[in-house]
Amino acid sequence: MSIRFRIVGSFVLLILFLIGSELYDKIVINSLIGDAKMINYAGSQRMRTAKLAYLASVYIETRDEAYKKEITKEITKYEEILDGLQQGSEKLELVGVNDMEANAYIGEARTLWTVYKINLGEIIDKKDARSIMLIRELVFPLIEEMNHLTFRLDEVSTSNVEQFRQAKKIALWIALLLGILIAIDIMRAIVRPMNKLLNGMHKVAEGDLHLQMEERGKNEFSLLAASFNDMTNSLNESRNELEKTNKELEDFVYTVSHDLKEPLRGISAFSQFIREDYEEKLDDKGRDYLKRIIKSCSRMRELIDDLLTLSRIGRTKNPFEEVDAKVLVEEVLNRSKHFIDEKKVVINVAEDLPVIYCDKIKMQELFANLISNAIKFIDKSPPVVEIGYEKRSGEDLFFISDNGIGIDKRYFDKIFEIFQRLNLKEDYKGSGAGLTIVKKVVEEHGGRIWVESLVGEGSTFFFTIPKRSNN
Amino acid sequence: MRQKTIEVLLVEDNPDDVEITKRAFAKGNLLNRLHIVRDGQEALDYLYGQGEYAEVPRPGLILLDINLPKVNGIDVLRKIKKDDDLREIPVVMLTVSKRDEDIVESYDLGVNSYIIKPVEFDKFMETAKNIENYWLHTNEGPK
Repeated sequence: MSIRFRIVGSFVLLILFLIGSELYDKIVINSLIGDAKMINYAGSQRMRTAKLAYLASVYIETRDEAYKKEITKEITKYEEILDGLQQGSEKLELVGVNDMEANAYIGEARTLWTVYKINLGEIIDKKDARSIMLIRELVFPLIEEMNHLTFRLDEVSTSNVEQFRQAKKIALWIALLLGILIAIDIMRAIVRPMNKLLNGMHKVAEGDLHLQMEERGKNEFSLLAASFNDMTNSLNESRNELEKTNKELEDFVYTVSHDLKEPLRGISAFSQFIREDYEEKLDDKGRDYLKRIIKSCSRMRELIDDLLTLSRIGRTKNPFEEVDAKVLVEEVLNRSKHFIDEKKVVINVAEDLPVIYCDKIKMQELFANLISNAIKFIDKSPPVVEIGYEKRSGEDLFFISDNGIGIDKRYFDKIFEIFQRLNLKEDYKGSGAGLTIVKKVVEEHGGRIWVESLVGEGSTFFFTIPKRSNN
Repeated sequence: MRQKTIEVLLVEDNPDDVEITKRAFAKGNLLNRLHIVRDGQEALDYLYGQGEYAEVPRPGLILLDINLPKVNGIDVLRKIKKDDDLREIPVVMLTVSKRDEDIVESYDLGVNSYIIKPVEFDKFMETAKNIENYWLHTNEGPK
């Protein structure tokens, strides 16, 4: 069912119920008005009974024909009302009794009335004064009967009012319940699927592209869920495509680097053989050329090794673990101890290095590269390298600073690109892939890396490692 | 140093690597005779004494490249280690490959050592020396 249909349907239902309730009110109120008329007429019959008795006795005394006429008129009126009370009358706007007890009172009143009427007839037709005695005897029982009827009608009417009141109460509760049911239905139809979609969106944003939404029923949300699924599917495809391409690229780099190594091994070995076996047969120029070949070979080997390292970083995925950064940095420093001692570098490591959640092997590679990079570009004495840390919300910020030659602001981004070297090869050794490797490791951990530097003062490399999320 | 002659079978298709290996072994302390075959099939023919290899001496050490034409090094190694007679000959894999699956497979098959060919000759010399030392200090195998 579409949501539009549900909402429109619900409101139509509610409106129909209210119209029904209104119609019911009207009917009940009309019937209550009818009740009042019945009561009034029943009441008036009491008065009419007394009036007839009075008129009869005055007529006997005065024999005035006007009274006779009046008596005849009242008799007709009495009967008309009595019929109206029992069967209903359009003229009098009476509906007639539907209560057994009231009807019984009318029946009894009618019996008394028949006698009453005969005696009235005796008086006005035969001028029989004795009949007045019977009239006087009958007047109170007849009034009494009408009194019963009046009270009974009042009782019935009161109970009708009470019933109406109850019915209104029930109708109110039904309307309220109906409203709640409609609200729940709309909630279920809108809020729930919307929350599901929202959650799904969050998950997709966090990288879960395998998420599939349930496409239940046939409404706007199932269509939305279908589009959502199409979206994640195509995102997933793109990601797989990208991963495949990346892997192909990394495999390509790996294969090419390996294949390049083979001829290089030949060039390198045979130029060395020439040096070993034929160096004295060459003149200075020849020896210089040979030296250049051998040097180029070393450079080429460095480049290939860096390429291999870079492709290995991308290709291998070691399990993440909790690693004490302090211990890790110590290990890295121990491994480069020879190099550090040789250059007489002062290394200050912050005391409070945290435990981080990372790929330990790659993290070692990262620190090793940043530390050796820092040392490499120091021209002052003593060389000082500082390894520091700052706790931040959601991530750990590390920095490695040196008092080296510094980097011009223009090159802040360029230094992270592969084989970008800002300095002449002769002055500073290295292939220029180190920072690319560092950047790749940081990014694989979901962190950021940047540099701040002043030419002649030194450089500081900052990088962040996100804290392990709890889920 | 005890002088002895080892028959070394080098299975290598790259002529440069053959030349480099020859030189490295020539400079070593070990007297050795290097027999060279160019692919996996030739290696098997040599070991089984087939065709032109009917009269060759049995090697005391096999240096086996992984990437070989016809029959690759891993398959040669598998055949050697399955043969009751040849199984005793130490096999050293010589290759540029650092691929984990190759290393794992070779060890699974019972390779004696695994050496990644270094680019620089000095390192290659070290490797050759390691092989010699390794051979000197291990069981010579049945004659």
